[in-house]
Amino acid sequence: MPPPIEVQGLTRYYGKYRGIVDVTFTVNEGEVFGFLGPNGAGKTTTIRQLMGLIKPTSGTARIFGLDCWADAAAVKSRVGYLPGEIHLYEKMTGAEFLDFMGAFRGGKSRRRRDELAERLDLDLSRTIRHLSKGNRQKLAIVQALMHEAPLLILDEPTSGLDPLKQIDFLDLIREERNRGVTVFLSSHLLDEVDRIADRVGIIREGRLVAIEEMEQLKRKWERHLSVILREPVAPERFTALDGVVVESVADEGRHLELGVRGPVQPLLRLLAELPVEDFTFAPADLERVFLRYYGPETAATVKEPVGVER
Amino acid sequence: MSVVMLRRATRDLQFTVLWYGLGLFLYGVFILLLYPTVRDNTEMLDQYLQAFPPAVQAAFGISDMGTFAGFVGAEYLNVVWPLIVGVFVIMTGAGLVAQEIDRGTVEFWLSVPETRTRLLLGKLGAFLAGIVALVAITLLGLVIGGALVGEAIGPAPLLATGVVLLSFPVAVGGYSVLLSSLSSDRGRPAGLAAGITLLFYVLWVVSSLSERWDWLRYLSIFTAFEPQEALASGTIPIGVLVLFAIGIVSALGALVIFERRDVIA
Repeated sequence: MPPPIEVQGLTRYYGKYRGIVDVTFTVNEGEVFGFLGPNGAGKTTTIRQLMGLIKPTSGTARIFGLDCWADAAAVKSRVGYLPGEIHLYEKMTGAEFLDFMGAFRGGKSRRRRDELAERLDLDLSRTIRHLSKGNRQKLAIVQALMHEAPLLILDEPTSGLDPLKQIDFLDLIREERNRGVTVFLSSHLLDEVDRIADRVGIIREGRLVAIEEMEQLKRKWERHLSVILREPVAPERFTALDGVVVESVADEGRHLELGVRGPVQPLLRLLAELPVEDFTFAPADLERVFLRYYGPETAATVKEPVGVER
Repeated sequence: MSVVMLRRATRDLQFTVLWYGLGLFLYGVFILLLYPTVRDNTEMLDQYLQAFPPAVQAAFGISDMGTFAGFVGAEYLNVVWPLIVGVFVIMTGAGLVAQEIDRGTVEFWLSVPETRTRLLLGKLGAFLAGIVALVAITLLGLVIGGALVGEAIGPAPLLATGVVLLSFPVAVGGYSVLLSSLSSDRGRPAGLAAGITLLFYVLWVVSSLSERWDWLRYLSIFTAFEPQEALASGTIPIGVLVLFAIGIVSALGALVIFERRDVIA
């Protein structure tokens, strides 16, 4: 059976402006594939080509072997889609909207629809015009998931959701994966993808710069630790640890900014011995991953994806 | 054609059509109630109208005010009716594709397992049904208004008038949808379609002012739109075929363009 998503040399220009250039990747059946990149990197451009909304300048995008542009209608019968920007039919109620979207697929999705709405605590009787941003997002999520399609394409699915609902949503996605559904999910948040994806494609300035197993990527990325100490401590105490770099020292060695890669246990043990007054540990930041491992120049010019494709 | 889309688009249009229809119906009946006064004072009215320059008479489509068809034409069908219905078809037609893009709903609209052609055909079907409904309501108003003032309209004039009335919004609606299919916001195709329609109207008025400008009438859709003659004679003027052709060719063009275009820049 052809893979759920197969993209070959996909390129899209908007006039002379770059959208994406020569993007190639495959998403395998049953996996959650995170499509990671900063805003404006080309994630949505790629997704819109998968959904047949815009035509590739060159290259091909296939879903279950079907061409995303030429066979767009057939492709969509196999896809549950959540757009990155949610613009709904304002005059409809949530239920009317879902009925409308469900009717194109024979209207068999009612039970699943109600189940999802209940899970996400969404009132379907309200007019969309009166829904908050978070509730609109939930409605769009229900819409994408209710068709029980074998492939989900979700563009920045958690934007607008409060943190608790984000957790509920990620649980939902895990359940979908356990049922054998393939998920293609874009995000600009590394930690979000970390919590859910099996594999990650990283796109930057329109080019795919890496495809990695999540575990491999984790070993490479860098978190940021800021430590405030009651007494000065020699930076060498930290640099002696594997995967730790000192980025700056201030206040006569009482305030250190560290970059941390790999396991954190040795660092935690060291901190326990030191006179720590306070510290903050920031989640890994996508730009830092690029800067540290691909470099600003390399990241923009890598032609072939780094890492292995399964 | 997507039946789901047809149903939805019909529901979306029903209230707009209802209000326009009610307006047309009441206007028609009300105007016809004035007819006996005009009929009984034809001579005086003719003298009065002769005082107006030919341009004004042409602009308001005034001729044979003393006859029933002449009165209905001058006061209602020749200019007022296309103006009201023109607003409806331009606003609706210009929105069919462009509004979905303008409002951003296109991503959901085109995420359903239907071809763009079948989706747009569903909308076009509802649009056409709305136009037919407005024509039917107009005819009903004429029949009822006519009966109230003792003017029975026979089946042949009624049918002929209906066909002529239908041809105008089909043509205008057609090019409105065509412009809509090329655009990503609703305002531009609406403004363009309104401008084109106004230009057709101006050409039609100017062509009737002098022999020198007579050729201009071949450039205007208003030349083929002759509801007054249809009502008077009970025959369908051949010119309406041009209007229907404009509408159909434009709609086909819109389908082809929409099938091939990028919907998001």
